[in-house]
Amino acid sequence: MSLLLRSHLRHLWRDRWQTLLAVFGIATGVAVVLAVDLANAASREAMRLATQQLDGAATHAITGAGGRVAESEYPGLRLRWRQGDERFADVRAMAPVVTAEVRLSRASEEGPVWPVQLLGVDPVADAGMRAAVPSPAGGAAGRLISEAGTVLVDAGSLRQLGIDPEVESTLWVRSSAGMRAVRVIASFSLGDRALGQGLMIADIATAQELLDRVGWLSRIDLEREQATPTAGWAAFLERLFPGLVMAPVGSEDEDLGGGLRVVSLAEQAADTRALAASFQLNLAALGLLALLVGLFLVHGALTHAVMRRARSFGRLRALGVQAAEIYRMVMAEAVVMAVLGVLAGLLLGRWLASGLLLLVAGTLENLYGQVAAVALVPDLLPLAKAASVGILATVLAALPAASRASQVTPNGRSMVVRQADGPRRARWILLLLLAVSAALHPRLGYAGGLLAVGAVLLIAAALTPPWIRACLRLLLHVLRLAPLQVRLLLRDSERGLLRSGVAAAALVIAMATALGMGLMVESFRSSVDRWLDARLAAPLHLQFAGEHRVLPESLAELLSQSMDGHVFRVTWSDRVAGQPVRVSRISVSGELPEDLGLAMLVGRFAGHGVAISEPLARRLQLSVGSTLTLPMIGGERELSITGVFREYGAGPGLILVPEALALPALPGSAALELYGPRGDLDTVVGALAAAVPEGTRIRHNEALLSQARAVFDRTFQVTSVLQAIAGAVAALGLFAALTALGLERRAQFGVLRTLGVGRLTPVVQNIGEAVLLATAAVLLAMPLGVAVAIILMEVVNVRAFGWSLDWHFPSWLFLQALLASLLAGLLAAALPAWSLYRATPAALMMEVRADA
Amino acid sequence: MASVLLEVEGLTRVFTQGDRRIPVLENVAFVLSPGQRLTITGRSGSGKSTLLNLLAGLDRPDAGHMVWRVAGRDWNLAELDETTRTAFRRRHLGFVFQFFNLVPTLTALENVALLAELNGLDDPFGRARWRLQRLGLADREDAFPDTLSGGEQQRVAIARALVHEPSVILADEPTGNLDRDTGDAVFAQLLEVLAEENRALVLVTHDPALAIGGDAELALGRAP
Repeated sequence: MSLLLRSHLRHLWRDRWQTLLAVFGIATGVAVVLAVDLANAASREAMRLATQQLDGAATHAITGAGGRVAESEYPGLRLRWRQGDERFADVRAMAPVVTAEVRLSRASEEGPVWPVQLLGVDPVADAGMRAAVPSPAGGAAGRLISEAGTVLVDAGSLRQLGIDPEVESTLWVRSSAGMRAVRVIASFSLGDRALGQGLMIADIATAQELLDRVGWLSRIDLEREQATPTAGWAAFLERLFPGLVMAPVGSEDEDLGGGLRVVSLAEQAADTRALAASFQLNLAALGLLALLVGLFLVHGALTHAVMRRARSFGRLRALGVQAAEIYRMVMAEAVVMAVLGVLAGLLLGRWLASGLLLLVAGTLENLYGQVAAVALVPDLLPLAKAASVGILATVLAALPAASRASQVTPNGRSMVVRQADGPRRARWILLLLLAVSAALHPRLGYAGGLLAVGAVLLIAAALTPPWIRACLRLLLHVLRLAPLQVRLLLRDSERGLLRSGVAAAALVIAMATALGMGLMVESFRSSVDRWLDARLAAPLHLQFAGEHRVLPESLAELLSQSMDGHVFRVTWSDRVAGQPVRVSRISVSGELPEDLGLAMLVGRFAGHGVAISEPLARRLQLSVGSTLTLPMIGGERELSITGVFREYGAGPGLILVPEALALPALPGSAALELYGPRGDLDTVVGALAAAVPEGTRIRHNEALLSQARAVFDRTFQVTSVLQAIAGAVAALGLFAALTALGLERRAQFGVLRTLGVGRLTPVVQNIGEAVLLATAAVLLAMPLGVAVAIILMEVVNVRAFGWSLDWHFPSWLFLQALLASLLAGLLAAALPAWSLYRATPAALMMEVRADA
Repeated sequence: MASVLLEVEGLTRVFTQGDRRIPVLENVAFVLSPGQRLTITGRSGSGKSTLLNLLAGLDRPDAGHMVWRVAGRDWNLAELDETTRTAFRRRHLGFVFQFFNLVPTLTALENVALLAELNGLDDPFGRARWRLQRLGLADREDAFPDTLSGGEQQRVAIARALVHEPSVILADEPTGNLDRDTGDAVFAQLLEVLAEENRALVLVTHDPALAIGGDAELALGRAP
């Protein structure tokens, strides 16, 4: 090893605490990026597994109006495929499917009930498409086809019901069609990553009977030749940036005529995941921001190390060392730190991911009920990505410091002080402002919004030192008659900005991010609250089991006697203009709130047209007065739009169709909202309970509201954890800077202590400086946090999910940011202050002499 | 008998380095009267700075005592706590350092006024301005230390040492960082002011020229 390199590495060791902090900064950034990627990849894998069991190798499906296909269509379609119809040229397999959620129990009356997905298939047509479906050559498939009422159930579900998976048994299936007994002839395993929800496989005829859907299929699955190169590239990008890259929802359907369409299953699966995607997007964005904060720590530490060694570099230059050699040596130091930081970060990230995963799993359960058990997916790509990001980012952060070191002249004094370079900084800020404007261009979508947030945060970083200097000068002007020690504090703080400016910038970024995210979440919470309040204005809410077309007769009379009014909704899935939608047929009766209590953005709910949700309106660029074509049994209908309402819970699209316009009715999941009970609510509930069909859930609005709010809060819990990590990294940066300043000022404090200044003065100075920096930082972070929140709400959320949010900026969030910032400052100052408090004047004076 | 400002007797200071004991000062004794100039000389490592630290109460001796007789009472710094020693230094001692050690973020005027303000004296800036005028720096009072020459910085340091009217000035190689002519001029100004105001001076130097003309000289031995 060259002596020059040895000398540099010894510097790293001599300043080991500073080195350690820089390494920790890199490690934290890498860890958060890795943990977020792993957690997001795990949740996506869980979602994929949950659908894979049902879809298998199927890539597309043929669906019809109301999300169903008449069974009579199937033979004709199969014939077209076999005869080489060009529309099916790339189809390798075609298999009909009947599917629905049902519940299993051991006995017809009491006992545990376990939810499973019923999958009715044609074992011959399905051969090779789904792993769980038995081969047609085997005995199990034969029995499914030949023996009515036979099923296969996954072993996990059987164990849940206390049944030995190895022996045949009889179970009861509860569905909208009632309760029927089935014979379990065999079980199968769902593999290591078991689904939280069970799976029951039956012959298609058995499934139709169990669900009372004879003559109907849910869909016809197609396995098509996969993947154009762009699809492979998109999949790679999704793996590389889980959460940040989302598959586009909706595309042009292929119309097969007769109300039948070919749709992509991958897109269909993505439809219902808007909130999870939002959650993953936020996580991924926060992960990158934590890395950015970590980078400032590295940049600060390296800059500080270089400035401390100006004399040493000067001596080396005087001895004949070239500027380029100094440059390379500083970069070598950065690489050493990067390697150490990345190694530590990968270990830390793996550990952090396990913690995040618990929160993510909880969130997914909250959002979707039972989904696949979440587990970390072994994949080298996120590890390689985190390592590369860590090393590249550290090298980038080190470039300015290396450049500065190489500009030291042999007298060691001509360090380029960029701090004072106002025009250069102004040019950067102008460039970043242009970047923000460009990033906000609609063509860049939500990614542009995220880029704009990043650019705003870099503007924050660039503005921090001049902003703090301006604050300190203003204070100095206001306090010009204050005691000299106060002026000393203000001037020292300003002078120290060369060191502390970068750390303060990191604090500004962390605080602006936390505040921006906090404001966005609060606005989201407030908007969702208002939406829920409106949606659940009715005191009682009934959810019927299975599918219905009309209000059960047993209820109609009871309702007219006991309630002032009600809304009956029948909802089914469909597609409109290539977009997945849910259509609700609305039947109203009696006295109801205006617009059914919908949170209307434009127009109103009226009997002569449909009301559509905001995300759908944005995607299809529709508004009041436009028309949309809705598939119905018996043909398509063109309907005018009378209103657009807020909707956060139904994925990309919801269409409300008045009863009169949606005849004849399609069957679907049914719900009833009840308004104005006449008499005691409990008595009404008792009467309803006796009259509703089996499986109907009667719920009080209050309980639904509190549950929904709890789900929302848990969903964003994980973002709070990441915000706290970013804040902690920033506090560490400030700590490093204040420690460095404390070390540099020991000489000055030595003199002051010798002159008779008390030992508390350096402590007060150090803590005072931290408080000043933290306060100035948070004052800058506040407007920038608001800017971040506005971009997140008005650009990212709107473009990614079609949700508009009401601004809700509670004052306590600003106060919280102030207190968090002050706490970070105080914690950062505590140790250096304590060290100065304990130092004796004699020891400090020795350092004065050594320094001289 | 003349009055005594400082009485030092049997002063001993030993440093340890691992198991090794390094006696830096052994049985040092002397007396300083008001207005006297005591010069402490010796080679590097002879204990000059250690003695100055002890006299200022920055460090404590291992044996012996040193009693300052100031403001009508005795101050045995070896026995006082840190807070009292600091208060004593602030009020009764003035310091001039080799490397000036001005506070870089205070102007010349503010550097001088600092001690007057810390001691709660009335009109600290008026006092500071007067001191700077006496030392010929009236036009430099708003300058920050990094814009002053070495000689100017040391004159500001002298003004700072005198502004609170201490009984004694402790000067550690006050001309050691100045060229000969400038050093001589600055030192002459210091002596002139001290003589006028009858203040004592304890001067640590290895420059024999500065030792000439003092009232007493304490020559410390060679380092072991």
